[in-house]
Amino acid sequence: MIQFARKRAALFGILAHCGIALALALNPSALQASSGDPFEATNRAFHRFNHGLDRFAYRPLAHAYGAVTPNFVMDAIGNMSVNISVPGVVFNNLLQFDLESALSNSARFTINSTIGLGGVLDVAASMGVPRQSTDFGETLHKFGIGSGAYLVLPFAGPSSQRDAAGLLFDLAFNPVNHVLPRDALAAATAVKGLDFLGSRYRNSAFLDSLLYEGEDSYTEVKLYYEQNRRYRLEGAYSVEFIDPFGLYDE
Amino acid sequence: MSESGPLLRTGLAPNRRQAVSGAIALALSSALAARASATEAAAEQLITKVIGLINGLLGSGRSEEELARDLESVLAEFAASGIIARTALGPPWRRASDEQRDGFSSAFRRYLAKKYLRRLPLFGEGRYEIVESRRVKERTFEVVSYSHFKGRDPFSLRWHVVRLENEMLIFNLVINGVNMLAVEQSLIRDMYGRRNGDLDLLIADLAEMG
Repeated sequence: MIQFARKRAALFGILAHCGIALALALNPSALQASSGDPFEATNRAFHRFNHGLDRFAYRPLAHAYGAVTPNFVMDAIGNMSVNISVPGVVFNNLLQFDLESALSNSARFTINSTIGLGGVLDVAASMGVPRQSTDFGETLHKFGIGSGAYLVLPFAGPSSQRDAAGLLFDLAFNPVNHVLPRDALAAATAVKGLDFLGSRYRNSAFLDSLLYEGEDSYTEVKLYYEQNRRYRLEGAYSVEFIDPFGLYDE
Repeated sequence: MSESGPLLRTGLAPNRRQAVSGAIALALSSALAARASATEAAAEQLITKVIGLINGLLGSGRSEEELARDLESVLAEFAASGIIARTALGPPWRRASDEQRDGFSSAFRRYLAKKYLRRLPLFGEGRYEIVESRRVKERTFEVVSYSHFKGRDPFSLRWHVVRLENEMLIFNLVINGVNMLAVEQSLIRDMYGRRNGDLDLLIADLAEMG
């Protein structure tokens, strides 16, 4: 119990660190613009911090975890981690008036939590109920709120004013955090942490290339985040079709 | 009766002149449609071939260096290298000499091959599959494919294809919404700026990077 209180204090410490970024996140002045980078100086500082965190903690830990963990265990942890997030997803489905997804995600959660042995197995996927995620950032998007300016959050990485506010909302109102007993919550947090290392390990070719091989990883991460996020929220319409004859001069 | 009369009076037999012009119009439009779908099919054929080659590289057990060379030769054969290099470099292309243009094109191709080898990804158990293709403009097409990798969510690859003379070539690739040419344009512009507009230095550095 005391240990948990300490963890909670540590968590608040981390959140306090996020204070500057969050103050920026909640500043509504730039909530429509998305191309410029008004907070570039702060963003670059947080990017350097995250970059160091990856170099000295996430990346070596992920490699150690990946080296000692068999694939089926990593898959099980991944499935559990996704399953834990489903109630929060359903909550957002409902906020988006997307009853169909709310129902299919609830079915997924019920099936995987029971027949799937507490989420270890993704039985629902093999029964034809594929996993689909959403978050409060997407809910805000569906309500017509633009992304706002680009933000880099310490620990959490690339985001935007809208999506950072969404992240805060999801942390505060995730039904799981209010329903689970404390021990189970600590276990769930551990599963999420291991899954984070697992996906850092599985995507290491891509992430190492993105973070360590280019000349300016800040700009590249920003472009990747913004274009990928828009694609997720808006689909094919967000893809710019570059004119191959735009620079013809011969 | 207006010109559109016969079209509206659907139960009535058209007169001979209308029948003849109708037949010609039909023949012409179906010929056009056939040509349009023929070019779309050609764009799809190109991507089928490229995806076949890429799927062949997956799990081939070749070293990263060998794979980079393989991908570079795929690009050399099936990509519009001139258009890609010119678009990525932007305005400095106009001022560049022929020698610089050639140098930039081949350095940029090597850089792309080394870099996108890791970005695609080309490792692990999986394959890519085409789902649809469409015409975008007179000479440009989009072919959409999806990845199927074990234990990962599928992601989309949107191939942008251009018809030059009678040849179909790839000029852009959008990976899960991330537009390769748009990203490279921005990165190359910054790299060129950091070298104070020294194109020869940029070419030398690009050949080493990726």
